[in-house]
Amino acid sequence: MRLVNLLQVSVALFSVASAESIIPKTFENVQLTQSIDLTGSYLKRSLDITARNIADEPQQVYIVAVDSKAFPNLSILEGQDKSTGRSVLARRIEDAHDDGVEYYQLSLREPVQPGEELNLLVAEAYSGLLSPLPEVGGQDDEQYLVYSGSKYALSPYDTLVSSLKIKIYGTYAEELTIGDDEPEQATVEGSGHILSFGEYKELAPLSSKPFKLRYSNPRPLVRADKLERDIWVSHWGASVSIEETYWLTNIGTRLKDSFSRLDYNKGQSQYNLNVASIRQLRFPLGPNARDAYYTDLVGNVSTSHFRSNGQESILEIAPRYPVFGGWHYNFTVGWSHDLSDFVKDVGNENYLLKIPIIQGPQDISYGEVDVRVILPEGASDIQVVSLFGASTDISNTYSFLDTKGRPTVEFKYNNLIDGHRSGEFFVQYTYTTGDSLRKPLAIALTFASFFTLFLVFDKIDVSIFRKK
Amino acid sequence: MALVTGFQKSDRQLIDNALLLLKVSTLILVAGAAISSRLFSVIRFESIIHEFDPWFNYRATKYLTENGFYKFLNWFDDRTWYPLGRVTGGTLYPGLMVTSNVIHTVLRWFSLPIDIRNICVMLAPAFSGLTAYVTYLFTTEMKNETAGLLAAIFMGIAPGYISRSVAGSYDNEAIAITLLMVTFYFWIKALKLGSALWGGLTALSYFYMVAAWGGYVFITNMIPLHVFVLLLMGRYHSRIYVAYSSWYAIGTLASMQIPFVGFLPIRSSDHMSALGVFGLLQLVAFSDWIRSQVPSKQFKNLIIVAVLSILAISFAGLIGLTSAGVIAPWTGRFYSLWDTNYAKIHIPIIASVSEHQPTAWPSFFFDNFMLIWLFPVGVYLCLRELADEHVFIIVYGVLASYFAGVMVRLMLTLTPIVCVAAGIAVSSLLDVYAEFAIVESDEAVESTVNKGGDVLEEIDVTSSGTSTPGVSSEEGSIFKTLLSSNNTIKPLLAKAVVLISFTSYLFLFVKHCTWVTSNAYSSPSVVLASNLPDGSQFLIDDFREAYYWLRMNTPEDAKIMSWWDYGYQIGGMADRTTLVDNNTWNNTHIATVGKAMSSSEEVAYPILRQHDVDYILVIFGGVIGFSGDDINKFLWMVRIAEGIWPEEVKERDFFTASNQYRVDHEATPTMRESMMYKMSYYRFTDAFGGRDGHDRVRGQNIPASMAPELTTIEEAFTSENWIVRIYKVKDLDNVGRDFPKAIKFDKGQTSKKKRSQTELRL
Repeated sequence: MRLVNLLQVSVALFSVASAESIIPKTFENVQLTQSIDLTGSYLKRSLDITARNIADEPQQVYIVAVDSKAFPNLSILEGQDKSTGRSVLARRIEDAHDDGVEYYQLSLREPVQPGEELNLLVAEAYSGLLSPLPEVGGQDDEQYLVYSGSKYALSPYDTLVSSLKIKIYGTYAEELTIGDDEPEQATVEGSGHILSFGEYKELAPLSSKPFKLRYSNPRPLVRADKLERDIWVSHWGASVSIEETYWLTNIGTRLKDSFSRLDYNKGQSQYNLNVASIRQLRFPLGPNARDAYYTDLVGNVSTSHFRSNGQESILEIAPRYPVFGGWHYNFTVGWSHDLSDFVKDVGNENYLLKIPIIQGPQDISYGEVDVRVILPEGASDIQVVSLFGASTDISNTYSFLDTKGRPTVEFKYNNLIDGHRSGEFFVQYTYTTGDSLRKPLAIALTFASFFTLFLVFDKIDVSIFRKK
Repeated sequence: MALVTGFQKSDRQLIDNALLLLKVSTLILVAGAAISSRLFSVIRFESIIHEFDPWFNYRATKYLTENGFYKFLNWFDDRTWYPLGRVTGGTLYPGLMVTSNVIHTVLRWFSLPIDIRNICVMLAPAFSGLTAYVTYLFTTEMKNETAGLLAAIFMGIAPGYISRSVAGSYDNEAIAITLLMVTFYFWIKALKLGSALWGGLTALSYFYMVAAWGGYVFITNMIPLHVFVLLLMGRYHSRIYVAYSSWYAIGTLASMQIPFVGFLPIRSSDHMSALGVFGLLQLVAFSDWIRSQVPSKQFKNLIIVAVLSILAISFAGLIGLTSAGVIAPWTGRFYSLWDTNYAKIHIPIIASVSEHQPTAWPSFFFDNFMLIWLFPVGVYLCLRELADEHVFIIVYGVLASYFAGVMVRLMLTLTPIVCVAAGIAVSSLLDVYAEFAIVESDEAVESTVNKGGDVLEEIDVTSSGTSTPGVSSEEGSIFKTLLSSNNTIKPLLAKAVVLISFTSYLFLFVKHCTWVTSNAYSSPSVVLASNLPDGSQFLIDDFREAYYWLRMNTPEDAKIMSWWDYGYQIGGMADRTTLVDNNTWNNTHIATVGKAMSSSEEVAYPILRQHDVDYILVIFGGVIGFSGDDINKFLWMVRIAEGIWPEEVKERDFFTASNQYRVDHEATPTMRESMMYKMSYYRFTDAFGGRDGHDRVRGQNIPASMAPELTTIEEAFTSENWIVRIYKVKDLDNVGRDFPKAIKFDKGQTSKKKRSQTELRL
């Protein structure tokens, strides 16, 4: 009972924004479970929603609220109908938002009749929301991160029961006090890796309860501030070649003072020391990748392993030096696939390229991502389908022995995570036999004209005195 | 002779065509061999720029491709020689960079977007193929095509030239040797034909050479010397006059267009011989004309008076102008050519470069193998022949032999003439011993030709028949008669013995060249290779690791202090500002760095602060056994610093009482207090668990009890095998303490504590 009182007090204290939402109360959350995954280098949140239609008409949309402070960091928001397992289209509502809240609308495949229940799963990922505390640390110090969020999942509807589950990689977690609020004792499960809070009952719309959790995370926070990904489609070479340039930063605990190789070597034999440095990156490249390489601005880097077979290809690279918190590293990797792996002949000399947006390492977040698709010379009628709000642009690239240049489709993304590996874009283009013959013809003509010129000049006598 | 006349005309044409085909394919194969034998490092490591100087050339080339030619010429580089900067555009030979840039532009035009780095890496091998071809042309002028082809083969794979032209060795010499041979070839052509056109071409290639390499002075003195010797031999001819005058006039004017050269051709002593011979040639031509006008008796008197007075006047003028400062006196580098100890005493910075050391005798054999004993034979044969062009070989041979003995790097200029002379020698030998046509019947020869036997033999057999332009068939026959005065009675066995032994020599030569190239000259020295116990290769990439760390994790305007050897690499790979680099134009600045390295922390810190140094980089090989590290170079730093501050830095202080250079427990206090020692061995003994650390380069033990401690700088980065160690210079203390006090405070050994201890004792 005391707990309930406390909850009510805290609701009154912290639910400043919990006035009235502009979203009509068509649903009522029967059960809302918020699961936060803090094991990776960025924040993953999922909501397990059981909601009942309390309106009079059948409902086609369900609205999800996102804290507008976290909104710029929101990388992905996907919905799924739990009962059918099918995905639900999620779209941001641009013109409707309350104070400090942004809304996403999930368009249900089938309307929910009045009084019926709906079972939804919403997955979200935010990059750059986890900050190290302390910000700087020594080489051997453990890394602690702070997550700040709300214990109640934000929702524009009334919530009957809400709970929170947090998963961490390490075993240390501690709730930081905010104001006079006493930290709540969490239930610990899974040998210390899972913390449970709640349940919280009878929550008004948009009520929130801020809290901060400090936890240990012995893994590096890998972020690519920029990624340039070039996809070269070649019909003559029957290959799709990919080259990616990364501007990498470890956004974890900044290394204080200096780096000591001696301590680093000593620590390598121990599990818990200098663990928050990036020592290896693993690229799962899908089946049948080949010809992998790994270079940086000063040449080839010899510390990489590549193995490939019909099921999967793995490229493992080690940076030139262990990348500690606050350090940067950039590099280029490249590999090739067979043309047939990604390009389909859709008839009539039309081709369809379907390729993942990114194929980079796991557990990484991206800032700016530029993907360029360089189609073969002469490709025309280019049609593009892209997801995740990319801006597209078509330009021209000149490369080996081009006369006309290759049409280049550029996609600009922002704020991606490795979860986007499953996302793909489509480029359809026309490439005729005539286009494919352009290059050999051009080369042949150039050589022919050289020989002709040589023949002509060979016949001309430029000597002043006639030879005998 | 009998061979050719025996055929019908169509047969002869067929043979000519076959010969041409053979010749062209041989030359292509030679060029192919020359290029491919230089690719060891690319195959073994990667397409990477080697060593030190090439990194600057590469950086300059990148600047040129990015900013265009005019900006390149006006390039003031504020990222080197901090805080002085360097007028780079005006103090380099732009030929190499412009060549790469032109190739790059042409390839771009053909839509071949080849990376400028790959062009730079492959430039030297490509030009070496060209060198082989030019050597062929040059030697053909001297003797015949057989000698030419042989010389081309020798030139293609001689280690003496490969040492400076492997893939990745992107240095001025890469194209300069080609240009040297081109210029000499044109010169010989001009001299033989008395043609102003060939003279002009000589001047053009000379201009290119001036643009490419400081060694152009060799040509500037070589050609006048040749002419001078010819004049002394009484061989004046209008051909010489035309060739020399057209070369000198055009070449000198053209060479003055290079900013770095400027007015040197008329103001420096190095160039005076060319000017002098030019004047002398005018006088000789004039007197030659007078002789045709006046009777010989009067002419004799006239010439004696005139020559004496003109000599006196010009000599006095030279001395006067030199002392007045109009003509620059000889440079230090030039003096060191005559006195090998000169540099060691007066300019330690030149002596500190290993390639400026006098050559050891074995390296002549190492770099040229059997060519070194064929070389005198070739020169002797030329001496017997002694046409104008053969004088050139003799003069060149004598001069280059001397220079190669004085400085290791000048082996490079000797190699071409060694190859040419050896080509002449071997071909003369083959002329005699592979000439089966004379002893055997015509049918036998026909059958060998038709069978298509040994390439060398075949060309040789027929080249005696087809006289090449410029080489009369009589000349060829003189070479032949030299060795084969009684060839009719020479038994076949002797020929077989000589031919077989020489074939095996040639085999050995190729084997030696490949071995030397593979083992001695194909290491990029940026990446080191070592073998693991199981035989697999293991790459030590510490340099790039550390440079890349600097590039990624230090502020873009950070100033890095290191010994000058690494300046170009830091500029190229780490892209950071350096204090001194391999350009070594300012001895005092280098001495300042040397002083900072060899002084104690208290002395060095103000120097570091004054020069805004953020990081110090030292090379330390003690952990892995890399012998080219800074402790081994340390004495040069001390010597160069001592040259400027003899009171403050003394070489003697770094030697023990028994005159040994030691780093172990016997090391002198000065040594142990020096920045270099401290930075090298900082925390070295900790890696041995607190016991004495073993330095694997010097084989000495570093005592753990005397482990160095740093107060004014702190370790910032150490590479995987400890080869590169980077230290950060501490900022001034926030509350104005000196560093030892601040460190004591941080460690908790404050003076307050001490007092309380004493109180307790009381």
